[in-house]
Amino acid sequence: MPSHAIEARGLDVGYGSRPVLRGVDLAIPHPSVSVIMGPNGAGKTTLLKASLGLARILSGEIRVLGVPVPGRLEEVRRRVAYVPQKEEVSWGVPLRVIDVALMARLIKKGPPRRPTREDVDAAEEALEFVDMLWARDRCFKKLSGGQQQRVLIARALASKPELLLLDEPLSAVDAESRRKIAEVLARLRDEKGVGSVVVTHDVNPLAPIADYVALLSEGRLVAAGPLAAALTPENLRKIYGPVAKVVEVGGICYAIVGDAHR
Amino acid sequence: MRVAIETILLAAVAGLLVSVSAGALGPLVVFRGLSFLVSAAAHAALGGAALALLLQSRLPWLDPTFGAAGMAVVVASVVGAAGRGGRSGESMEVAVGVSFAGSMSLTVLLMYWLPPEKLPLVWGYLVGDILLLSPVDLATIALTATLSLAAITAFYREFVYSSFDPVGSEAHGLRVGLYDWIMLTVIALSVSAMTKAVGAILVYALVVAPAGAAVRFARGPKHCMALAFLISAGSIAMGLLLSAIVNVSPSAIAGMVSAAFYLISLLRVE
Ligand SMILES: Nc1ncnc2c1ncn2[C@@H]1O[C@H](COP(=O)(O)OP(=O)(O)OP(=O)(O)O)[C@@H](O)[C@H]1O
Ligand SMILES: [Mg+2]
Repeated sequence: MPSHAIEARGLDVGYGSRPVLRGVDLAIPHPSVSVIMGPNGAGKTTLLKASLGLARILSGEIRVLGVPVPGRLEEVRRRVAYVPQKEEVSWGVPLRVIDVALMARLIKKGPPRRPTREDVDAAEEALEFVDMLWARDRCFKKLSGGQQQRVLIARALASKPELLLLDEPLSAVDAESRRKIAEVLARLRDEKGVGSVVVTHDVNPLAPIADYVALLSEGRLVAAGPLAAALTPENLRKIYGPVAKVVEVGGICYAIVGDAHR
Repeated sequence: MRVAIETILLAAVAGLLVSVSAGALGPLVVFRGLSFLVSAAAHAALGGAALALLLQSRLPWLDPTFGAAGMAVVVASVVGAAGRGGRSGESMEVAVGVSFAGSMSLTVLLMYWLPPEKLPLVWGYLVGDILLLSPVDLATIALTATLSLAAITAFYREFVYSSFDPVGSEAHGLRVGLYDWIMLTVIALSVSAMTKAVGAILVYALVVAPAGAAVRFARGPKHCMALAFLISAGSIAMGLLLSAIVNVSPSAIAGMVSAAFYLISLLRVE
């Protein structure tokens, strides 16, 4: 039975008792590269966090890879890997790239979390996959933003997940790194059957490879589906407001708000 | 005042034990951006000791050490609870400040009721004296130094991971709240024990300054811990040596030396 990456029904999520996501019904295909878009505060991060049991599910249900959260949260956390917003990572800790790449894998192993040859091999293979093995022994905090982002993706990959949840992996990343990240996600889906759900403000770099998009606004799902079907001028104006200019490139509509492409 | 050689040797052992805790734990508070937790725990120890001294009229067995340790654990738990549910950095920082002010207020309040002959015992926690340690004090410091080493050996990765990326670590299944609490409690217990030896103010200089200097040179967390240990031990050794020659407080010299190490480290441009 092909299960969905994330499947939500009547989902309300919050941090206290006030819901931040309201009545979300969603079925993200798997394995796919799927995009979650929406303005600041729409609840994109909250949807990823709810999938990982990091935000409170107030009502409705959510399944990840067919597994209910929070009922079988431990299984979800074992089979899924998370790439948080770079800003969530602390700069105070002097860690090497390889130490960062090992983290998720060793956490999932359980105590005592001593790395074996096999763990190090997996971490190196993941670094190679994102083209960062050359920086293996460099200090993580001295890398550029785009390089750090790729190391965080490698960290997730080294834990051999079936699904990646990525929060704004393309922000503050130059065009070349964006292209590389998009290529990594496409190869993961096509070669390894690993799906990704990507929160982003900029669908451009992912448009050629993405299968599915969900548009969120003010905690509600506005539209979801294949890109050409969901990214219509009406839907984009619904989430970015009537002032958004909409341009069509290659059959896909983009909203232009100020000078940023969405 | 001439100090007996045995006193100096005893103080050197205490200093070495203090450095072990400082080396193991100082980098953790610096990584976590919680350096003031050290001051908060030290002042909580002060308040806890004052409370124990007051209760001694009813409970004669209640040593101030227990009061100090107990109150330090309370502070660690409050800080840990404040950090739950993401956004940990900022809310922990405020909890540290509130605990600091709260325990100082408690101390001032309690000193009003304490019999005057017991006041010097409370002041002892504020300024400390590494040359006036009882065997029980030394044993307490040895115990917490062992505890620090054991905790860092057992949970090195858990502590570092929770500091580097609490949200990501929890997402992959690490019980961040639990390890944070263990880390904070061990820090608080060790600081409360060290406070008796070096005083509530200087404990900051000996735990945080060496780690702050070390982190600027360190190639990794373990390297940072080793450097912090060396700086802390060196500062205390310098303090003891100078105090044997001229009549000065060894802790004061040690605090100034470690602060100097920190200032020198700032000259290094990355
Ligand atoms: N830890 C938290 N506690 C309480 N409220 C929160 C927390 N995190 C987010 N929120 C609130 O939930 C709402 C949705 O936030 P969320 O982070 O999911 O938005 P987002 O779509 O990811 O926005 P951005 O594009 O800015 O990252 C916001 O109103 C925010 O204030
Ligand atoms: Mg977000």
